[in-house]
Amino acid sequence: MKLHLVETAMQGPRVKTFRFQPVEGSGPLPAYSPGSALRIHLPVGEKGLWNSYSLTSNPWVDDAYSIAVRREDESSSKGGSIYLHDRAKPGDVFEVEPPVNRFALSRLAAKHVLIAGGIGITPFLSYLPVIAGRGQSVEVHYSYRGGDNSAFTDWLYHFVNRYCRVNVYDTTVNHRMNLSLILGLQSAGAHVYVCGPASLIEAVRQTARDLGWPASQVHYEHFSQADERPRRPFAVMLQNSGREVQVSDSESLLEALEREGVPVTHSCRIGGCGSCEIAVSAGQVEHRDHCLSEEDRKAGCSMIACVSRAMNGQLVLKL
Amino acid sequence: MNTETLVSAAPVPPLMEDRFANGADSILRFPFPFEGDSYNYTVNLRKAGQGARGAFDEHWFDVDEHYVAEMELREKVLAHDPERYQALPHMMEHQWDTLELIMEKYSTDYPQHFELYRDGKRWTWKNKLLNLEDTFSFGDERTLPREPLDYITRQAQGDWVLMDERDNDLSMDAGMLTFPADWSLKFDLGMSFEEWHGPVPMAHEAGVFKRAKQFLMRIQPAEPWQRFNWTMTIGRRWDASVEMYHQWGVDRTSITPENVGQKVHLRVEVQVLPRLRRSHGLLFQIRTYLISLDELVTNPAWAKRLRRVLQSLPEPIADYKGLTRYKDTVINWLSPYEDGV
Repeated sequence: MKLHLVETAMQGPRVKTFRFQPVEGSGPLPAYSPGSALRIHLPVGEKGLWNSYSLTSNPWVDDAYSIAVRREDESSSKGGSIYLHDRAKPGDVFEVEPPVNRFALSRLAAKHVLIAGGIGITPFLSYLPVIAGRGQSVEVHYSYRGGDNSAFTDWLYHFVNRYCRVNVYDTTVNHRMNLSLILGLQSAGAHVYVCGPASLIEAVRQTARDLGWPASQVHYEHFSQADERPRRPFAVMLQNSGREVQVSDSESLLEALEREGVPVTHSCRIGGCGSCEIAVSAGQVEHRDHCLSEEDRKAGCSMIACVSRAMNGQLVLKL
Repeated sequence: MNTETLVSAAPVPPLMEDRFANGADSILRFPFPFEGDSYNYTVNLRKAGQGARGAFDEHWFDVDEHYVAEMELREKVLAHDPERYQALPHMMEHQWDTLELIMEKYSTDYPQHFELYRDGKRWTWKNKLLNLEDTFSFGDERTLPREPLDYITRQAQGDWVLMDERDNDLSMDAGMLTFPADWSLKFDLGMSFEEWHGPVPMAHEAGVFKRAKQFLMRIQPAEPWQRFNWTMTIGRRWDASVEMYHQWGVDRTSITPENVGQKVHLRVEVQVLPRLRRSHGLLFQIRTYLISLDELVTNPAWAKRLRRVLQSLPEPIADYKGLTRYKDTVINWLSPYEDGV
């Protein structure tokens, strides 16, 4: 769908907010849940760029989509945030995909502990009003590198009351979170959410594991969505018939087997449902599915034919 | 004894054969669920609302010729047993999400029957099939005659279950269930995904539910998925609930080679699973279609395939679906359609 950029505002020296509304005549924007993200197409480079940003507004009170973007350094960026900061202006039209949520708020948590590193604060901007509206307890722990990166602290302080605590940490003066203490002090039934650099996410997950937190109460935002590994050609040997099937770089194993008339039960074709699981008797699998468990993968005895491939050029299948 | 009074006091007419008879068009668009000649319990997922023009899956939520009859039957079932509608207190946001989705899809996909006008939070809804018009404030349940889910599902074909997603699980926390195939919302309310699938044989061991649940939890708002489920029902019995088992359970002993074509029905559920927008809950529409074997065999390819599927059905599955007593009668009756090819 197409959206109009209607307003921008600086939130400190490095973070800018952008507010979008539907173009004339296209009806109201689809609502979304706290933690949702918006994929937006930016005219950068030859093909353009799809970037994903957390929505920071509240769909119950707002008829617009808002995002907050940190201007990345030229050296560490593909140019998306720089385009938004330097070139995008009110009136511009952008192509976006409907919001998706991979970082949802648990509705019945006894308490929410929100841990943010830098611009990782953005999903929590949509969490906080909802948590406050439900009258649930919340703690915010927000660390940043120096005052230039401390966007939204004033906004956060507005929520402080007997049910909401906000702690900020400036790592440039060596003020750091004590994760063992933060997580160790929580009662059973609390949920922790972490968004920020991979090192912070890993530290929170590790600390929670060490303290015996149930995995279902530890939430983290995945940053990399798309699988950017190259699709390489490989060969499979079908052990029951002795046939060999070549899988080119432009097709999946499932497609190659269908082409050769080898029937495989299948359903979703996006690596999600597990219908096209095939037993593997030799060779290392490059797993790209979302349905096999860690144990399944370690055992190495099966693969999901619609997405997964061979690590080293060939596999032997029990087909 | 006045037998007339007794008859008219019956809460729901047990069969409504005439009103739910399938016209030629309904038979043509019947969602025949079998893709192969043998039974195979898979999650059989595909994207919803991608069917051909006029097909049962052209739109997310199908409206067909039985709309008015089905809505009137729902009212009768609810008048007799209001507990077919259930909603836990934390589900109000899910209820509004569902109302919005049904109104939006119905008015866009069937503008000849439904209209929705939105002026900010002030909404006007027109249902021309049931001759209803209401203006209300979206998000304020005091402005509707009933709770939002109760209100809208009395105007929407199929059963509707609302799941909350939390703690890496799905929880059945609200719904409207007047036409279930041998289960009860009141009994299952609040259960987790694996709990309410507890009675299904063989699939837990195969790991089907664990994976199905992970798949469902990845569904995003713009892209609902659908799957088929099926069983068989005696008579055109929409309300085959656990609550009414005393009325329909015994019917399964009544099947003879003479009445099988008229009495035995293939019952297909097209299950549509959209993600709810504000609540991040999952909606589960169970859109039921009933076709008598007499109607079904007007398509001989369906007759042949159904027979082969029934022949390959494992005993525990046949027992679970309640087919054991009359399955062989059906298989024998369908044998003329087996051409050996």
